[in-house]
Amino acid sequence: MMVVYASKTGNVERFMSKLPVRKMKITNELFMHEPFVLVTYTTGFGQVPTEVQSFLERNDRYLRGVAASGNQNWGTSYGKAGDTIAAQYQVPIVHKFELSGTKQDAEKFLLGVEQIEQSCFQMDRAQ
Amino acid sequence: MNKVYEAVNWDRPSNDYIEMLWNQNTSQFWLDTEIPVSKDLKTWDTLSDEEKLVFMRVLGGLTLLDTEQGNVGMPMIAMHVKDQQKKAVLIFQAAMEEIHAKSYSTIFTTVADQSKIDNIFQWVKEEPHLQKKTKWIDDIYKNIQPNDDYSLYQAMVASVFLESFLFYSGFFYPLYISGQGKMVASGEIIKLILRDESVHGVFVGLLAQELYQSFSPEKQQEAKEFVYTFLNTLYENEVGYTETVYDSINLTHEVKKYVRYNANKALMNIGMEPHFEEEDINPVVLNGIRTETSTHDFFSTKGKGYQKGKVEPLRDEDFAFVNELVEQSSN
Repeated sequence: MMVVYASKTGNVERFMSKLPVRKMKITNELFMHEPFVLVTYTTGFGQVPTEVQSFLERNDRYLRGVAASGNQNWGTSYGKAGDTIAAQYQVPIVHKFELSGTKQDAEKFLLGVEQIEQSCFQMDRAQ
Repeated sequence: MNKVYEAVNWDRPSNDYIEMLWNQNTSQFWLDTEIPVSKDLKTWDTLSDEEKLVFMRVLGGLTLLDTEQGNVGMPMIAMHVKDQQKKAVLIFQAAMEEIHAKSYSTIFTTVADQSKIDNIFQWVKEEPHLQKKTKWIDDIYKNIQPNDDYSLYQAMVASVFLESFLFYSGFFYPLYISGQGKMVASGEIIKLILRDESVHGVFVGLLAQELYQSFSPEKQQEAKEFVYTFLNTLYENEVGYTETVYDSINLTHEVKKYVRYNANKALMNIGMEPHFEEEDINPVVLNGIRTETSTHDFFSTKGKGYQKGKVEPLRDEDFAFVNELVEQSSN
C-alpha cells in the first residue's frame, strides 16, 4: 500500500524514514491513481493542514486510512487532524503518534496498514 | 565602510515555517490575570501540608527556569541568530516566559501568605539540584561566541532541554492534582504554559536542526555526543530533584517516568532519536492535560481552550429577540 505524507517541521518526515514502505510526499502536483494511506501532521489548534485539505479534495477517491502526528500536550486536540479526516472521508484511523514517533509507533502503524491492505484485498475478491 | 542596518521585512518570509510559528505563538497569547485562580482556594484547603509544600516547591522551581529562559536564554539566542524574523519570534517567546514566571506568583499570592512565599523563594536559592541545572544551562547560554554556529547550536539544545524536558518534573504535580479536580484554575495556567513551551521547543528545535545540517560529519558527531552526554547529566540531576521533592508524597516513581518520556520528546524536537525506553505515563496526569476548561467567560477568564476572539459587526437582527420581549411584556 502506498503511503502519502505531509511534513512541515520534519517530524512526519523522520517517522516515514523509519518505515519500509512505498512513500510519496504531498505536493500541489500530486495526483493519486492507486489506494493509499495518508500520514499528516496536526496544525494550529488541532486543525488539518491546508496542503492536506486541498490534496484530499483532489484525491479522496483512493484514500483508505489516515494516521496523524501530534503532541499530547494539546489534550483533546492531540492528533485531531486524523480524527477530522477520518470522519469527513469515512476511513479508519490507522494510528496517532507524538512528534516523530517511537519504534512502537512505527510497528503499530505498519500493522494498521497491513489490516487495511487485507480488507481491501477481501473487498476486491468479493466484487 | 559604514554598517548597513536592516529592517525586518515580513513581506518576504525567510523560510516556510517562520510565519506559521509566529502566528501560532501570537495566537496563543494569554495573561495570568485572565485566569480566576481564587476559585482554587476551596480545594487548596483540602490538600495536606505535605501536598501544599510539594505544590509550592515545584512552582518555585518552575519560576526559576522561566526566569532564566526569559532573561537569558531567549535574548542570548536571539542576539546571535542572524535572521530578523527568527529574532522576532524568539523575543516574543522571551516575553511569554516572563508571563509564565509571573503567573506562578499569581498562584502563590492567592493561596499562601507572604512568609510562606518568601520561604519558597529562599528554598529555590538553596536547593542544590535547581541551582546546578540552572548554572549548567546558564553557562552554555553565556558561552555563545560571535559567529560561531557550534556554541550557538549548544545553546539551542540547552534551550530545548530546558523547555521540553526540565520543566516536566515540575509540571507533573499541578497536572496530577487538576486531573483529580483540584486546583483546576492553577492547572489551567500550567496547561497554557505547557502549550507555549511545546511551541517554543518546536521552533528552537528547528533552528538547532538547521545548524546541525550545516555541520561537517565530524562536527555532527561531536554535536551528537554533546547532546546525549548533556542529556544524561541533566537526567541524573532530575532524578535527585524528583526524589527531594516527591518522596514525601510517594510519587517519585511516577514523576521519573514522566521525566524520561519528556526527555525523549525533547530529543525529537532537535531531530534526534529517543534515548529512554518507552513507558506508559500516569493516566491521572494525562487526564489533567485533557480536561477541557469549564470557564469560558470571555471577559474574565481564558482557559486552555481559549483562542483569540473573532469580531463581527452588530446588525439590527441581533436585537430581534429583545424587541420580541418588549412586545410580549407590553401586551
